[in-house]
Order: sequence, then C-alpha cells, then structure tokens
Amino acid sequence: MRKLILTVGFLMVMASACFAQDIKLTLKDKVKMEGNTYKDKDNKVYAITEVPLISTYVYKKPVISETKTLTDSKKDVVEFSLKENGRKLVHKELRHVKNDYKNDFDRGTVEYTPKCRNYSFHKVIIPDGTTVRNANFTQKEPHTPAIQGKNLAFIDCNLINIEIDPTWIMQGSNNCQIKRIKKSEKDLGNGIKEIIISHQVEGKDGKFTEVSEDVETTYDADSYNLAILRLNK
Amino acid sequence: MWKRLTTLIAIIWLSCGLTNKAFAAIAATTVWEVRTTGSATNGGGYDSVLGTAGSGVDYSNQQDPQESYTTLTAAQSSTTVTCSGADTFAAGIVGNIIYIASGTNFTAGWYQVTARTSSTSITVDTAPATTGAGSSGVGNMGGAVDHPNTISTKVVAGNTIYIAGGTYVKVGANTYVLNLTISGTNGSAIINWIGYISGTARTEATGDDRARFDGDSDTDGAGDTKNILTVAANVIGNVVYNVVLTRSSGTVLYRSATTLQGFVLWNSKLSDSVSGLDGDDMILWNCEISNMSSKGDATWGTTAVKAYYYCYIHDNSAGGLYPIGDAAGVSCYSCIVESNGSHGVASRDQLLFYSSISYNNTGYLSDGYNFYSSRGSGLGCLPVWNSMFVGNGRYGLSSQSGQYHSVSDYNLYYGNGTSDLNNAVAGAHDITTDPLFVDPTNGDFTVQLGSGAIANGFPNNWLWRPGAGASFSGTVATSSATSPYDDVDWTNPKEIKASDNVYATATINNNYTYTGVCTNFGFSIPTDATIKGVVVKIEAKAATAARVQIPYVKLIKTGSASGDNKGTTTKLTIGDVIYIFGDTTTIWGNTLTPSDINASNFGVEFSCQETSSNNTVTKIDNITITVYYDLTRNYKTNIGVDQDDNTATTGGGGQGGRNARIGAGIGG
Repeated sequence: MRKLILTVGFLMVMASACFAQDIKLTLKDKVKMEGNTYKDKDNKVYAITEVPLISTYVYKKPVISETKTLTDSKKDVVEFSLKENGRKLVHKELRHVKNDYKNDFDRGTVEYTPKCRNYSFHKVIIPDGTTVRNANFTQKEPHTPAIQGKNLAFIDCNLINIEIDPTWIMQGSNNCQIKRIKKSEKDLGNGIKEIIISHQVEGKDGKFTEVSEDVETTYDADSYNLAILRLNK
Repeated sequence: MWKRLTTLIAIIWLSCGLTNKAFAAIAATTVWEVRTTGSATNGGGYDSVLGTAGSGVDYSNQQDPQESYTTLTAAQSSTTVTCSGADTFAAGIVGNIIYIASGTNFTAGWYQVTARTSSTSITVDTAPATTGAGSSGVGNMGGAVDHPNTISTKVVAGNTIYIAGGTYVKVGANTYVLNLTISGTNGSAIINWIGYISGTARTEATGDDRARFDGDSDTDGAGDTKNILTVAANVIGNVVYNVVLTRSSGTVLYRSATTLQGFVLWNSKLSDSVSGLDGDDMILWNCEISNMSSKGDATWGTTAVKAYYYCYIHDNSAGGLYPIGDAAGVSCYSCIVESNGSHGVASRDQLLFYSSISYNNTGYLSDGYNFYSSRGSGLGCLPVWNSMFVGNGRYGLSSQSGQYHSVSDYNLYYGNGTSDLNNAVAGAHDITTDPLFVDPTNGDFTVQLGSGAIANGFPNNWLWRPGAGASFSGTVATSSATSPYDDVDWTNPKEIKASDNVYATATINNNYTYTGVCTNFGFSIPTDATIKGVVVKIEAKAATAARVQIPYVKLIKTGSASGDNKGTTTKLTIGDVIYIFGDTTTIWGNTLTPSDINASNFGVEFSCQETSSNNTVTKIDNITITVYYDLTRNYKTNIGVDQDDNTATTGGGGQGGRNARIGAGIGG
C-alpha cells in the first residue's frame, strides 16, 4: 500500500512537472520591472538608460550592448522594454535580435516572422532563400541596407529606400528611392502646423527630382518633432 | 426675296441636321472591352440596344477585330460611310464601333455604327470626315482595345468598360495609368469600370485575378508613375471595380479638385507605394490599403469628405487613415485599421468610426484614434460608436482637452500602451475587456465564443458579410430519376472535382444528360450563422458553340433536390467558361441552416441540354459552391481582397446593389 501511494505520488509530481513545461510564459511572466531595473527570468538584473522620445515619454532602455546579438533572455528584456513598459513602440509580433531601437524611424534590428508584414524603419534578418510576400520594409533614407539575407524573393512588397542585394529576386515590388525634404511651414494656430514637403524621386541618373509637394499636419510640439524626424536633411 | 429666304431656311435646316448628326455620340448603353492583348486601333465597344434593333452581333468581346477596312469613304460632314472592293460590312455590324485610324480627310477616332443599309454602306454616330470628302479610310471593327486609358476620353455617361485581368502601365509620358475625365451621373448613368477574370464570361475578379494598374512601366522594379488612378476636376459618376493599384512613386489615387466628384472604388487594393490616396468626395467600398511608405489616406484639405465601408487599412509606415481637414465629414463603417506605424486613425473633425477596429498601431505617439481640432476649444466632433481599440501604441482614443463634442459610446478598449482614453469621455456603455480575437495576425478579428465583447452585446449591428465556400471534393453520382433529365449518362463524372481541364463528358443530341449529383462539400459553417446566399459555379464547354445549355441547376438539401431551379438558356461556348447560378442574397427558395449545409447530403445537381439536333460533346470541368452567411460576431479582413486561395470569401459584390451606392453616404 505504501509503495502504491509513493508510486502515485511520484507520477503526480512527474505529471505536474510536464504540465509546467507546457505552460507558455508571457513576457510579463518572464521579465519584471524592479525599481529602475529590469530582471529577467533567471533573476539577472539590467540597469536602465532613459531615452527621452517625446516630451511626455521616456523610453527605459535596458543597458545591453547595442551591437551584439541578444541571447533569448536578453531578447525578452528588450521586448518587454519596447512593448510592456508604457507604450507599444513596435509591432506586437516582432522580436529584436539587437538592443538597437532608437526612435520611430530607427526601430532596431528584428527577426523575420511571417506573422508580421510591417517592418518599416526596422533592420531585419531574413533566412537565406526565404520568399516574402506582401510586406512593407520602408526606410527613411534612400539606399538603406536594412535587409540581411541572400537569395531572397520579394513578391508584392514595399522596398522603398531599401538597398537591393544582387542575389534577390523581386516580383511586383516597389524599390523607389525617395527623399522628403522640408520646404516651408505654416502655423495655423491652436498648436496646428503644416509642413510643406518636397517629395523627390531618384531617377536613373541617380539624381532626385521633385514630383510633388506634400503637406504634413501636426497638432503639437511632439507630433511636429516626430514629423520633422522623418524628413531627410 | 421669298426664294432667297426659303433657300436660307433650307440651308439652316440642312446645317442643323448635319450638325446634329456630326455631334451625336457613342450610345449611353455601350459596353467596352479592354484586354492587354487588344489593340489601340480596335473598335472595342458594342451597344446592345442599337444591336438588337439592327440585328447586331457583339464583336467587341474578342481579341481581334471582326473586320478591317482600307477603302472607307464618306462625304464631307456626312455620317454615311461606304466601302468597296474586298471590304464589306458584316450583317451584324450595327451597334459595334469602328476605329478609323487614317485616310484622306478622316479624323482618327471611334465611330459607332447606328444602321446598316447594305454590305457596303452604313451610318455611324458622328461624321468621320469634316474637312473634306473622306477616302481610303483605314479602320477596324470590333476587337478589344488594349488599355482603359485608350478610351478614357471617348466613353460617355452610362457606359460600362470591362477590363480583363492583366497588367496595365502608364502610356507614354503620362503621370498616371488611368485618368478619369468624363463624367457619368450620380444616378442612372454611372460610368462603370469593371475588372473581370481574364478568359471568363466577365466574371468579376478578386485577389490576383484583378486587373493590375502598375506604376512600374519600365519593369526595373521601381515605381516610375506618380499616380496610378486620377480623377479630373469636377468629374462625377465614375465607379471602378476589382482592380489592384500599385507601385506608385507618389500617391496611388489622386483627385485634382475639391468639388463634388462622386467617385467610388469597389473591391480594389491600393498597395506598395508612398501613400494610398489624396482626395475628397469619394467612397471606398470593400477596399484594401496597405504597405504605404507614408499613410493609407493622406488627404489634406479643408473638407476631406469621404466614406469607407468594409475596408482594410494595414501595415502602412506612417499611419492608417489621416484625412485631415476642418469640418471634415469622413465616415468609416465596419473597417479594420491595423498594424500601421503611427496613428490608426487621425482626424481634425468629424471622422465617424462606426463598428470598426483599430488594432496594433504602434509607435511612441500612436493612438488607435487621434483627434485634434484646429477650430478652437469646444469645436469639433468625435463620433465613435460600437468600435474596438486594442493594443495600440499610446492611447486607444485620444483627444485634445476640451476641443470636441463627444458622441462616443458602446466601444471596447483593451491593452493600449498608456491608457485606453485620453481627454475623451468614456461612454456609458463602453467596456474594457479582451475581445479574444480568433487570429488577428492572419486578419481574423472574429471574437471567440466567450469573449467579453459578446457578453456585453458586442458587436451589435456589425455589418460584415463573410462567405464560406468549398470546391467540390465529395461524392459524385449521376441519376436518371428526374424527368426529363434522363437521356444520356455522364462519362467520368468524378472529373468535375477540380478545375484541371480534365472533364466529365456526355454526348447529347436534342436531349438531356442525366443529372450530375454532387454532395458532401465539406462545409463547416458556424452553427450560429444565418445563411444569406448560395452561389454555384459550373465550369463548362461544348464541342460546338451555341448548342448546349445548362437548364437545370438545383440545390440538394437533406439528400433531395430542393427549391428553385436556377438553370439558364445561355449557350455553352467552345472554351471553358465559369457559369454562375444564384447570388449572395438568395437561398434558392429554400430555408437553409448551417446544419443543412454542413451535412454530407447537401449539394447541387444539374443537367445539360442539347438544342440543335447535332451530336454535341458537352464537358464539365469543375463545380464549386460558395455560401454567404451573416455571423454577427465575425469580423474578417479577407472579404474580396487578396486572398489567393480563398473561395470562402469571394464576397466582393456581396454587400448589396452597387449602382445604388454612388453619391450615397458621402459625408456621413
């Protein structure tokens, strides 16, 4: 009888252990904010650098190398800092491989996942030979080498301002090179401003020519600064 | 004196007569055909009203001209055209259009045949030679034109232009692919531009079958066209259906004036460009705007009046909908705005967001809906109703303090970065709960059973109309049990399971085939859905045209033929054509529940008839059924837009009569 009880008890412990392994931990389970530090699931503590993004929000960036590839634990910490600590700065499905997020127009280096179609202003690492459909890789500056990967195929993608690798195949995708330069601005009152923008497209001779004049409307200092940040110098 | 006066009157009368003839026009009921394989010098159009009166035959719905001429002649300012020698005018020419390309004193252009006197003499709508007697005229009658812009200045109010699937780029130095310059009306004489599946009997296109207006004219991979579709100043009454507008180096859809334009874009996609659209006074119905480097809607102006119905705006770099203007009147019904790189929606005034979703729009200054007024404190209006704001960067719904009249209520907020509301007053019936979307990553915003949204009455009044469909992969049988469909059995009936050019065949001779009985389509429609419509598609052909029809098509319910016979007397052609029976709003005189349709004994049966007493081989390639249903908790993004393999949701035309839509709802 005692053996039976012990056996049953052992099996219950094993079953609960297996069950625990099957539980998918959320980001909030794996990373905690403690004081002005992050703590990962292994209780490793990361100091924070405060990066003011706008007047009302400071990004609490973990102190981790910006150039080294992240370990899984560090990926969790970086992801937590970008999505679960005040504002959702990047697409919910993206996972950073480097701690190099700077702002809305320099969003850092991420892994490719079919779950996300919007990689605007990110650098992205795509496994060699991958076919990508209907995704947006827009960059701020012309000829930005933002995509890493060989023998990639892009079908119906936005590749505006992407520097193209000669091993890639593109079908139905748009690889325009575009500059947007401020021409003037108007103050409409009540904090509203209009920025007049020269929209320029690169020709086959490598020169940029204005094809239209656009207007960006902003409503306060933060939105104005954000709009200016997106423009080319 | 009297003689001079009567002579003068006669001259005036004669002049008036000639003038009237000289300035007649293409008939309002003319239908044009555009194919990439057509020619800019083909006739391209046919009017069935003129044709019916004059025993005409439609020669426009074919690639090549039916007749070509080199000996056309016409007296100066006369609408009578003659030919000679080897040239003759076909008996069925009336209603067709001739393109006269050249000749002495001829004005190049399109001329519609209004009457045929003999094989060498016809009357056309407009005098083709006005500077002198026309001779040695060269022209083509019938055949498709090569590009919609080829005829964009020739169409008239009421015309329909069918555009076959394929790629169309800008012509010459144009800065657009298609420029709409001719007005229809906002009532009975709309100009309809309809994309259809190439190679079909004008079956309206979805997904990649849609005509592609492409901004990369030199195929170097970079868009070189400023705008893809433009609407000229003050042009009203145009509707464009089923097209993909892509790879602009600027704004895809552009309007050039702010006066009422009454333009509608239907079941179309705008993608992979700088911005989606800049324009007022338009309706976008069941459209997708995605992958823009800037904003989906980048309209700037003082009015910014437009309406979006059932649209999907996603993955644009700098925001979803930004129709900016004071006293704007933008209506957004049953739309999904997701994964944009800034605000999902931004407005300065009166952007109605009704029964819609704003989800996962990210960035440090990104809201689900951002409202700011330049009109001063207390002005502006923030109408948001029955909508969801989930997982956005900063706020779900944000306004400037004191600068709006809120009429917001019955909304759901969940998981927005900083908070759900900012300077916006919560509605008395708002809720904060996880909506439990089924699979938002793949565009399925259906809320799961058990969602707090359902428990709180969401989403009442949502208007989405998804469909569910299946190609036939179940059971095939043939039957002689129903008279008169009992003469000839089918050979290889199982070959109708796939559209693979392997056929079920029967040779019939002034009689009928057995019924083909197809069941067990494998539907899995949710049990709480309401069935709205059933569409059966049969892909068929005959060895000789105009001999065979499909007079009998009935649904099978609980194992027995049931309800209305939707058969047709339209004759099969020698090429595969998909014939469509039923529509998205009728259930064939049956009562149908999801259980009826999910059952293995639900299906369709049909029979073919030969009517000319010639042994004719009849071939069926494929049968599919699409079921349209209403599921109030269902909210999918894939209706009619870019789903390569999804016959389940080919509902582009499923939301009602489309010609009634122009001018309706603008400004909310």
